[in-house]
Amino acid sequence: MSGTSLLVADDLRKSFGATPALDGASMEVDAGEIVAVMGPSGSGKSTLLHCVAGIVRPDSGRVFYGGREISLLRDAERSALRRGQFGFVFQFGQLVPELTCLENVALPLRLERMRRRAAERQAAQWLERLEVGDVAGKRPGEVSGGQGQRVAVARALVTSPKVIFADEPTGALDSLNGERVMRLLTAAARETHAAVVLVTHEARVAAYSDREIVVRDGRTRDMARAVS
Amino acid sequence: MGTGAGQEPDLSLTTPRLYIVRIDVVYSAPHVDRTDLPRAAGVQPRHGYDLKRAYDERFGRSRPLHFGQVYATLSRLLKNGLVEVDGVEPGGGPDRKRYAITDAGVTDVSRWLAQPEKPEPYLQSTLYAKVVLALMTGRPAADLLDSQRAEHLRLMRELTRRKSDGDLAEQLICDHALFHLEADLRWLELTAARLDDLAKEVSA
Repeated sequence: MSGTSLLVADDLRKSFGATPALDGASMEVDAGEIVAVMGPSGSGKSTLLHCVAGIVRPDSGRVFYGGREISLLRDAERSALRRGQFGFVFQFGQLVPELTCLENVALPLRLERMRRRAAERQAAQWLERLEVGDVAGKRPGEVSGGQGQRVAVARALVTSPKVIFADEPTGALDSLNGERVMRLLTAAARETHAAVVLVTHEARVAAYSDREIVVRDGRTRDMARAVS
Repeated sequence: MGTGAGQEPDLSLTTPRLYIVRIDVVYSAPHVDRTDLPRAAGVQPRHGYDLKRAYDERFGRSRPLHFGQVYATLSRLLKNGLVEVDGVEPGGGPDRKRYAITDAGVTDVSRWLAQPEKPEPYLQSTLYAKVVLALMTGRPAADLLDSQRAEHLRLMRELTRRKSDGDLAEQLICDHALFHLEADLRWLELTAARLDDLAKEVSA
C-alpha cells in the first residue's frame, strides 16, 4: 500500500457458495485517477468493484477509503458513504422507470434532503452537460439506450462524488454511443477531479483510463506496476 | 506496427500512397467530372509540391511523403498516360510543372476505388511465434502476453487522446488503428486462456 491512495483493497477474498469469486485481489486508486479493471467474463472483476464500493462485504481482506476501513462499517454507515462519496453507473442504467430523466438525476440530491427546485436545477445542468438536456421531461422508457446511459452518468455525477464506479457502462451500447458516454464521463470526472473505477472487458473503453488492473481467476495484476 | 515507447504510431503503413497521389490528381483536374468522387481539395491542376502538401495534411501526419516518391509517382503516371502536364511555370529554381488527370486516369482511379482490398490474414504473426518460442524454451509466456497487452493499451491510450483532440478525419484514422489493436488484444486474451493447452502441444 502506498499510504496515499484514496481507495485501497487489500487481499480480498469472496466466495458465493462453493464458488470463489475473489482469491486474494488487491488494488489501489489515487484521487482523480481513472483505473480500468479488465478481465474475461467470470474473472471476478464485478465482485471486486462491489467489494471496493462497499456494496458487498468480502469474506476476508480489507477495504480502505480515505484511510478509513469501510469493510468494518455497519450497513447504514456504508450506505451513507455510498450516497455521499460515490457515484454508480451500471451496464443498463438502472434508472427508475416511473420518474422522468430529470427526476432520476435529481434523486440522489433529494435523498440527501435537498429542496426539489434546487435539486432539479442541478440535475438539469448535468443533463445539459451530458448532452441530454432535451430528454429531461421524458421517462427512461421513452429515450434511446445511449441517451439513458448518459442520464445515468449525470445521476452518478450530480452529487460531485469523489469516486465513480462504472460497471460495463458501455456494454449495452453500440460503438458510437459507447464512445460518447466514455468521452463525456471521463471529461466530467477529470474536470471534477473524481476518481473512476471502470470495469470493462473492452480494450477501447479501457483506453480512456490512466492505467489498468487485470483480474484473472479472482486475482489481480496491476499492469503498470508489472511492466515498469 | 511500431509500438516502442515514445514512438509516434504509424497509421499509414498500409496506405497505398501511389493511389492517394492519384486521387489528389483527380481533384486537381478542372475538366473532369468529379460527381462520383468525394469532394475534398482544390480544383486546380497541381504541382508536385502541392500534391505532397495535400497528402501530408490529410494522410501523412505520422509518415509524410518524400518529394522523391511524389515525383517518381508522377513520372510513372505520366508515362502510363494517367496524368498529363497541364502547364509549366518558371519558378525560383527549375520550371514547375502542373499536372492534371487524364480520362484514362479517372477510369483507373474509379476501378481502384471499386475493388475491395485483400484482407490480410496475419497467419505469420510475430506474436504467435514469440509465444511458441517462449513455451519451447521454458520462458514465462504469460508474462510475455501481459507485457504485450500493456504495450498495446499504452498505444491505444495515446490514440484515444489523439482522437479526442482531432477533427473527424483524425478520429476515423485513429479508430481504424484502435479497432485493429483491440483485435490483437482479444487474441492475446484468448491465447492467455489457452496457454496451458498450447504448452502441452508444444512439448508433445
